[in-house]
Amino acid sequence: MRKDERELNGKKVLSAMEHIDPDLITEAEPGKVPASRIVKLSSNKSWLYAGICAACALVVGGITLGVALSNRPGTEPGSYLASQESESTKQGTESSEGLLALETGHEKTDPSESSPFESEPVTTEIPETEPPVSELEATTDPKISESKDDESRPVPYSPDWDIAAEEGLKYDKPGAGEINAIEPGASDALIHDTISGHDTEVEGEPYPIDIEPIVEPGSSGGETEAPEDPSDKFGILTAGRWNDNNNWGFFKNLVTTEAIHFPAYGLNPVFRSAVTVKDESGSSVKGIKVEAVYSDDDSLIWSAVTNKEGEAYLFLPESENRSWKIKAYDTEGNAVYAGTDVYDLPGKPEDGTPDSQSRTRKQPEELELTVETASRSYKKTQVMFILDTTGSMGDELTYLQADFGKIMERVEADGVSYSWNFYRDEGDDYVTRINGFDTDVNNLKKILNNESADGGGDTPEAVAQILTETMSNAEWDADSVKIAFLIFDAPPHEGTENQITAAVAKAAEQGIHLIPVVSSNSERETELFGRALAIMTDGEYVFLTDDSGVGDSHLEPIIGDYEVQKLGDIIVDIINEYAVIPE
Amino acid sequence: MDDMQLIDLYFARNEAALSETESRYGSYCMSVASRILPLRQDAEEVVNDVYLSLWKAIPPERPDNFKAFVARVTRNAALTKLQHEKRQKRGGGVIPEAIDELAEVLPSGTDPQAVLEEKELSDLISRYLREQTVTKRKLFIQRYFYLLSIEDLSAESGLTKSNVKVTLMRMRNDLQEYLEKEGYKI
Repeated sequence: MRKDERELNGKKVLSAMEHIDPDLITEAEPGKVPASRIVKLSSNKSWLYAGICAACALVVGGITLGVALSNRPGTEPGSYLASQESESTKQGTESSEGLLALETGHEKTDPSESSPFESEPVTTEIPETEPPVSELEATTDPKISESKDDESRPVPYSPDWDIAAEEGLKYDKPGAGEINAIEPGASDALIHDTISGHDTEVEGEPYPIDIEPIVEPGSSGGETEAPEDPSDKFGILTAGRWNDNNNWGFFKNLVTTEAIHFPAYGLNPVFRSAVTVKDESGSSVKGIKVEAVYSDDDSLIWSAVTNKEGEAYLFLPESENRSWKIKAYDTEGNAVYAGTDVYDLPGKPEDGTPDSQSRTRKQPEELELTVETASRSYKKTQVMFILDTTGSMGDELTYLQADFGKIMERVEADGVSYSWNFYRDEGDDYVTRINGFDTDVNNLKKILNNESADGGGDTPEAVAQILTETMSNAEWDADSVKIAFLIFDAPPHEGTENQITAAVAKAAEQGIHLIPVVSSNSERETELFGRALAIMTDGEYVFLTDDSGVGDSHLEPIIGDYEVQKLGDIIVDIINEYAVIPE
Repeated sequence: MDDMQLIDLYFARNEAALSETESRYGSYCMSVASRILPLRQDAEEVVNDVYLSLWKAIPPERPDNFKAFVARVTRNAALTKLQHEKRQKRGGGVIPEAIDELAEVLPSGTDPQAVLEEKELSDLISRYLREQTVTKRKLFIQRYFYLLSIEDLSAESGLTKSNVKVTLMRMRNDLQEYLEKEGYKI
């Protein structure tokens, strides 16, 4: 789905939510708004806003009704009043005057007097626990952040910054001109709304909002500092995630405009066919193998396994004179689909041959198959961690050693086993260090905690070797959901492209979802390499960000909007999303 | 005074309707608006505008469920305000997240037959939600009507954030299948 279609669909459903059964809306009424959700003005600017509010009150007090009427687009209190005043009833006239008073009450009343609609400034208690560093979605205001941060590196946001500094600070209501914030269109939509008929008695209890005294902010002003005790370092690293397969139109645009380019260390994910497999009832078929094979000799081009949505991604090479077709197999390896349709490979020229038999179909970007077979029943999940342990990865190793136990605790899937694998480079104490899958947290922690970051030296590391060894690991189980996190900051060596391509193909063939986690000091080529790994194995690209303040600067990837989260949260989320979760 | 009598005040163009609305639902409006507009000043501004919108909408509207009507007006006003302010934070906030999450519920509508009227879509979503457990139903509505963040949903429901995300993801997938089975053609 193109990005614009995605956005349109999302907005459509979000808009449709407005008109769902009103009883459902009131049933789902949420509780108190958390204190961290309500952002006040920065204490640094409180004097400024107080002055502005006072000035506004004076100015608004001096502005006449005519300004409010003349500046209000599309809504004509004057005309409404006129229509009211045209009525002969005394009640109508009084109401119009009342409305007039309502609309202009802000500027007519003395700011020091209370208005029926003016509430006291609400203060909230800031929780004593350190707020989540990465929860920026509802709390970041560029103005506030800028007022706080004098350093070049972004400082993690904290609601401590935004406490109203002085008692008695009153937020005067916006002036009449600012009532224009509601656009006329919105009002018209409301007028034409219809509501499902449900006679529900509403008790009308006031909806509570927490009102508690201010807790003075800490002297740090809310800046997050890395704690000294390693055991307290859980959740410090911040990261973002991005799925190019789910943003394919966006990705293709980047390629077309040459914002990004491939191949990256032998991997070229650009020519993709997304195959969706369904059964005759229309349900997705998960966990079966789908292959692209050359049409002339049936030799394999690419093999992938359908995911939870029944989708498999096939990646095609460029060829001027060869074509391909699709095959699919059930969980036992029996062929359940042998396509007769033949498709062009990318690069086939437009030859204009009139002979229909020699012409093939253009390369399809999306295909749908119907097969008579059942989905694979996954009962277990295998999670592999592959970690670069050269010297530059010291911070990441330290924090992973702190985080890992809690990650295991928070994974909700059943039957999860983990494997820790490490690599450095030729000439170091070791090149690769492979371990099997285990469920014992103590064993796993011991393996991880025995590692330290050392060695390396030149930029490239033994990525090709570790991928070859881990993707060919005999312990991968066909009936398991398979995830492999590759945590690294350096690209593979030049000249290892064939090895890498073979390893990635092996991963895709087995349904291993590669999740590259790119760390600090990485270059663009490393980012593109990571993204190619993710695309070609139906994984996801994860990247550390500067928000934690830990480590060196992190490269901002060329992607769309993303949310900054704790790395630990992202790892847990990804495992839970791919894995088998009990109801 | 019950909500029906309150609505009668609107019809009578009695200003007491507004003060009564503010007294009963002022905090509720603030809560709905605050979840969409993180700055309190913006939420307060929107709530003020909501009272005026209600005054203008009733009559001719005579909502059967006044509280839900107030919630919808507030939500609409807050979303309009948010769009008007054009906040562009990195990550975008709850609204772009929600839009992106819901994108897959409707397949790409290149077929004219696939175009669902919004009301029909709302009815289908309501029917789907009524078939769910209370917990799941509340999660979905709190996320996509009240626009709570994942963190707030976790605090509200007592579920972990991961569990919330996974539950919502599954519900979106189920809703997509539900719409397809109900005749929404791809």
